Amino acid sequence: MTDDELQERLRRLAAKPETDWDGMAAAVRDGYDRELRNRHSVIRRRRWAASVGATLAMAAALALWLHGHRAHRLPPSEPVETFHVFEDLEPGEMIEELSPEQIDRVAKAFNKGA
Amino acid sequence: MANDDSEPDDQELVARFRGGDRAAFDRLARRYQRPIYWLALRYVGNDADAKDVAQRALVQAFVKVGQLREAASFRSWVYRVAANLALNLVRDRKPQSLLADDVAVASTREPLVEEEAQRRLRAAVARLPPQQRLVVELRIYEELPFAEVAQVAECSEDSAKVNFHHALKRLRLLMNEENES
Repeated sequence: MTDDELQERLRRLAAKPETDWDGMAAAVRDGYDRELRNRHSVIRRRRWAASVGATLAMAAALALWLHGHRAHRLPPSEPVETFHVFEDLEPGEMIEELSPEQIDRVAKAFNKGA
Repeated sequence: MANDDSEPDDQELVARFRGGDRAAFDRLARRYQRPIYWLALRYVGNDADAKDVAQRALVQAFVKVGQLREAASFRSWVYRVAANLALNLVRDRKPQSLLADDVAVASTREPLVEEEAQRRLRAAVARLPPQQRLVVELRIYEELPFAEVAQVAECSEDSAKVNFHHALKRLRLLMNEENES
């Protein structure tokens, strides 16, 4: 069998039956519209998820920043109530403010240190 | 694909469709639904699956038409989508009769011997490797030039020609095998 004969035989195999072409065209139109609707819905969902994600990320960033900022401004480790505030008293006035027992303790401590 | 003076070519219709013209969409769909359906039918062997493949191929081609670099190659594009869908469907299902009775083309008046030879040839075509079969389908049945066959088959023009040559050689071999057995 030559190439031409074989090709001729192959051509005779070509099935070209008619079918409901109008129905097929309508189905293609419907399928396309449905596909577009699906795509738009997916895009809407993605946008919504992106905006929620962005809001959460901003909130997290703000929370982190506030945390860092507050930690930076916190006083050193000593508790507030252990501070002695002398309200700019002169050393003599400071001694006058002390009770006799406190003066004794200060004197003992001074003597130990000396 | 220029048809006649009154019929706009693919390039123009694709441009109009991209611009939102639904009438251009309908014209393109009607232009290609027949060849796409017939191509699918030869692969899948029954009307329902062939219709499904043709419809899905056209819808996909239209949805993704934005990815098409050259509007003029819409025909190759839609053939490629259809061939891929048909091949996937055939691959995913069990083997079945090559063509259902309702689409078999052998005439009942044809002598039995001739009818048997055509049946064997149809079976041999179905046994070709996918790429060779695609080239034969497009070249013989769709009468596409090799340049366009190559576009659809995603190979070079030379490779399409070589595949076609090998396909014919293989078909002759397969036919001879059947004759001997």
